Amino acid sequence: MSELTEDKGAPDGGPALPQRPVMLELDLTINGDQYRLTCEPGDTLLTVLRRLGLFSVRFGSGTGESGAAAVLFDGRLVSADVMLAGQASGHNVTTVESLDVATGELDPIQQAFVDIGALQSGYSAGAMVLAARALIEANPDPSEAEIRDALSGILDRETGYVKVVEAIRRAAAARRGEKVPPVEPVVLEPLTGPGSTERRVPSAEALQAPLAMPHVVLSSDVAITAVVGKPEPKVDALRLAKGRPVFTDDIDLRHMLYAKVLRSPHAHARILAIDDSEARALPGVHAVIHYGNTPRVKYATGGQTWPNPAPWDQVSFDNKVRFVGDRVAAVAAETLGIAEEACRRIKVTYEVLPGVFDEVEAIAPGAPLVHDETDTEGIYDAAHNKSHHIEGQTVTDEALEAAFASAKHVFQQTFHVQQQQHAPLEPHITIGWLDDDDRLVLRSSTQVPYHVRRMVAPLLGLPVRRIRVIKPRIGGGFGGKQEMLIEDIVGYLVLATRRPIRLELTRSEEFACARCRHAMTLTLRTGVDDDGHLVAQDMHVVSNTGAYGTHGSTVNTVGGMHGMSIYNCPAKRFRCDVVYTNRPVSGAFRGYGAPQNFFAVESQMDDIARALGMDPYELRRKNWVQVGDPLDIVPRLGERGDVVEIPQEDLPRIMSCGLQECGAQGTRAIGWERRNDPSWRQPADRPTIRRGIGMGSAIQGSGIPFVDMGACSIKINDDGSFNMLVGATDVGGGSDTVLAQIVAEVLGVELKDIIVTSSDTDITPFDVGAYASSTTYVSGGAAKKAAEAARARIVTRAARLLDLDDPGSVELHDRRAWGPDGRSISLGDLALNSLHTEDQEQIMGTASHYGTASAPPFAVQLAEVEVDVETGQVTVKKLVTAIDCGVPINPITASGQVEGAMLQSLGYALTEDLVLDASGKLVNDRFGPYWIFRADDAPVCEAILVQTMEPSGPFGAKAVGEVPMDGIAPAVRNAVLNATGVKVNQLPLLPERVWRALNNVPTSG
Amino acid sequence: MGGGTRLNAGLVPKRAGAGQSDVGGVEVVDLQALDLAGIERRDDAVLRIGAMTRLQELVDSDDVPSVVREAARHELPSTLRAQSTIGGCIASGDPDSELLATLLVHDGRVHSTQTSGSVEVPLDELLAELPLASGRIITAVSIDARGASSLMRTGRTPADRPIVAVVARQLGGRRSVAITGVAATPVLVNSTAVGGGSLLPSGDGMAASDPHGTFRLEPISDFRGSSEYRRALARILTSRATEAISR
Repeated sequence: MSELTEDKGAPDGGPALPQRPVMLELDLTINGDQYRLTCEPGDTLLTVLRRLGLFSVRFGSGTGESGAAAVLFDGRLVSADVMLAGQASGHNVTTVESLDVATGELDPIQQAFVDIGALQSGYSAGAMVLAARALIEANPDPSEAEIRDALSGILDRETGYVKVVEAIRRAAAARRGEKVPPVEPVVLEPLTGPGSTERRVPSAEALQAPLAMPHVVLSSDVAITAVVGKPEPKVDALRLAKGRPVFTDDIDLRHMLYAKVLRSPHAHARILAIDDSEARALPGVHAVIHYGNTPRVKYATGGQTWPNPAPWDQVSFDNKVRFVGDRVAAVAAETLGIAEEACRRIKVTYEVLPGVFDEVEAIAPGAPLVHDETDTEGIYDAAHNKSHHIEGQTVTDEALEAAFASAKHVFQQTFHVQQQQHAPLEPHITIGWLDDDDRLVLRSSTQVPYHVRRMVAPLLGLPVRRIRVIKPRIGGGFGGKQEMLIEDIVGYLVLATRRPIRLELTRSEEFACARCRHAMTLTLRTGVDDDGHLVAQDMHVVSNTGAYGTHGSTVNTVGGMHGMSIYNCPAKRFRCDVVYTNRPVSGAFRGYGAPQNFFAVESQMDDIARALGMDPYELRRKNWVQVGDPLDIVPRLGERGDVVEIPQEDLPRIMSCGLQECGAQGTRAIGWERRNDPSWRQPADRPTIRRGIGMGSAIQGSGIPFVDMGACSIKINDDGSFNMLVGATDVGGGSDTVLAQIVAEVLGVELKDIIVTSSDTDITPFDVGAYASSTTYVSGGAAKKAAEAARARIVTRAARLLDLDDPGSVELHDRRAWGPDGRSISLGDLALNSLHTEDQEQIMGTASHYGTASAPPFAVQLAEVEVDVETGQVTVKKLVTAIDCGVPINPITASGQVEGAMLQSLGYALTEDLVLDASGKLVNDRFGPYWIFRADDAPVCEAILVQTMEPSGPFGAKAVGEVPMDGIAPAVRNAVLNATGVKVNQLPLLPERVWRALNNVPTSG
Repeated sequence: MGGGTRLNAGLVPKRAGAGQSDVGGVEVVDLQALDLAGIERRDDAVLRIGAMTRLQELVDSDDVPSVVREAARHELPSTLRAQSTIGGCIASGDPDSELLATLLVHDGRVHSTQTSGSVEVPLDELLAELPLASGRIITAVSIDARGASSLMRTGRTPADRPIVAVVARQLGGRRSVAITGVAATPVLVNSTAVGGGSLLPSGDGMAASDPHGTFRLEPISDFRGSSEYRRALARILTSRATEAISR
């Protein structure tokens, strides 16, 4: 490497930029090609590689902790985000683009990842494939421990690593010349109901199958299908495996400017003045925006359907900040460095106010008022920091108290759960520009492109028609991107500069300034009779929404709805105060309030069982809802605060329920009976270890009835393939694939005949977006209807071409239209006829679908733990989730979602917590201190898909993505109880919390 | 900068000379051209490890005591082990570093070069003096590879940084104990003092770095563990580690 001369020039002859550092010249070998490059001394290898268009190398953290930027460096897997480009001079660098040697074909390692379903969002696919390659080249027959160690540097928030490990094992086996078994579901015998077996030991075949293969319990009332229910590879697999430029940041725009947000250092302060003159004077700065030069338009950031729930308590830039990291100003500049320097030069005069961080303290008299502005409407009780109040009950207060009075036993406990961050590997990022017609285009990592378009319009003063939102592939969302979080800033800056603008959150900003799960204090009172039947339930929640009330109403309503719906109980009441504090803002997060409520409900169920001397599984079985039972509290929850009289026949009812089978399969898989074996619980050779097994069960919804809507458009092509356009947003879970499978099934073609385009507000039809577990159930309903509409045109034409009187007699399968007499015509010939030859028409189908029900999926989740009774350390050895998601449209993507949710919820149980210091500043805003599970410390995770036929869902499907998030935390807590006899009612179960409980040591301070 | 991993990531504690991710404000010297990598066995006892030896090389080396290899594996995930160096690990003085604790009990001595010449100091002395003086370059660390060692740790998960870890080593009649998570850097302690209300530094190295004998270890409290809990862990894990090497 050598030095070049200083570059003080500015592009386009504009004002001089700040003095640039001495440039370096590098000689690099990249993917076998020689490069001579120049860069700044501070440029990382990541920056230089992406500048070359090698977009498979991605930003995850800038600290090397995410692994998304991993490349092979002289054959070693290293993180390019913590290597200066200058260090790489003279070395060989390999990225996954080097494997892209043939059109439409994959390297065997990539193929293994695709076959087993190891790619969800695929954001870190390149890094994982390279890790596999380096490992297998060095060690052709790696053990699972060696594979997990090799992956330890690459975080995966989506898969739970189960299928990634198996992909590497399969790739290694294939390379050794061994035959790799096909990916197909492992069928387990049912243990309950018709056709069940008493044998609790699966077949030898099932026992030998890798856990990564989807394990399915089939239901006899499910029809045989050709594409639905099959473990098809994802439709976006090739582009993800090859590391193609499919994410928001994988785009080069000329003259793009970089945005940076100046954020509040104070948890609570009034902004008295902002002086941006020095920032504006900085060469290279093109715009500075803040409350002094942007309109004060009230809104709520939650990506929800119109009209967004009150209160609209935000403006793009306010004269008050309410948490550390709140927006103060934003800058657009030629480089990110200049933008950061400009932020440092903005002088802000603050009047610092006292802050409040705890939800219970926030509603106490005299607490600082977070929202004292006068122009926010719809705050429930601003004088007591209550953004919302939610109530619902199935009986009157008097009847409820009478039920408690009649109960033989009454249990009351208070639980506390913490704020958890989504931590998607891809942070929030938006790139905006003006198109040829001066329309604003926002390319954004969002789960809700249509909501973003509608919500950003009034802030920018633009009509919706002047805005286009494009959702490329998303590197994980989990609800965190169900927000209009940064798009307005990009929009303002594009309009101000008329230049493309890029704004990406740093990892620290993602932790502190994006959204997180609500912390809650939950007090649960339950009455039971001597047999263990519930007779009364009363939950009171104080929920911490942080600085703003986005999702405050819906998360807490839905959370209570689910928490109070898994058990039959004649008298129920749920009350919730949603409370403003000066903490980071809570929002939507996978489970949507249910994980918090189930921690209380399911923990208490074990305590009740213990007190009554019952098996906690049997206690649950006695009380679980079943087919036909009413979801009695569901329609009664809201902000009304009174008992709603609803005739029994009008209550929503459960139409499919696999809870009992889930319980039987789950307890079999975990070895439930061991929890009562003293010799197992207390191993003789490890005197400080106690073992335990715990259970948690859960119910969720499938979309929001009468609210969620999706739409789909399908058209035939000349060769009998189809274009499918959907507004649904695939955030990595595979919804594009699932919707395409539904369409392929209806049209009698293969999955590869469906070409999916999703989520561009100019091109695809409306969809509310990816949330509330609605995509398969609601958007899938739209896809099925649209396919049926196209099918109707196809069979009509086929009947004419086959000289049949009744189009209804035509069947579609094997890419052909078949008459009852066995004659057929290919869809390709039929398409050519319709498009070119006779009575021409574009065969197409368009439909929308909104749910009038929300068929609940169920899960029974179990944990096996070891507790060190001297140190309090909890080590989870195994997790099991048996889930009833109806008919899994794709068992490989469904089981992958379950595996990922198990590990994400294990983080919730054991490590993940947004911890603030006394001033309200987040102290663990990095992956390391925050800690999400790595491949090398993940326990065994087993997913079992229990089929049920849900009549209201497409091909019997229900939702899958959220419910496995709900029961792991109480299962772990209950396993610790089983192991040690101590009750820890606060998450996460840090070693010190368990140690204090074990030793009865009160918390100091 | 050798591997530069911690420096580039902004993970180096402020006292070690750089507390920000923007390396533009830090003078960077690339040490790659220097021959500072490699593991060399000098005799039956001494192992000399070049400062730019990557942690993965420690993990993979049969010459390195097993407890050091185990600690090197715990130190960082695979990607960062492949680029981080033992010199960087020493310079960071990370209080949670199990690797540093193993080097301490194995009588680690740090070789460094500065304008006034080369010096060799016990590791515990160097850790007490961090950050490194300007112009001083760590060139190697040597350890006594002999003896029986044991590592005990408590963390939130098996791969997480330990809240407290204890490494004990027995060589003949001499026993060494080092603890992480109880001071600004991993420290050697008098294992007999661990059971008391406070942890007293001991050993030859600590005596040199604590000439007044008044320095009492006071573990910090943070979200992973309070001072009280860390003391308790230190006692429990020390007992376990010393018992393990006594077997």
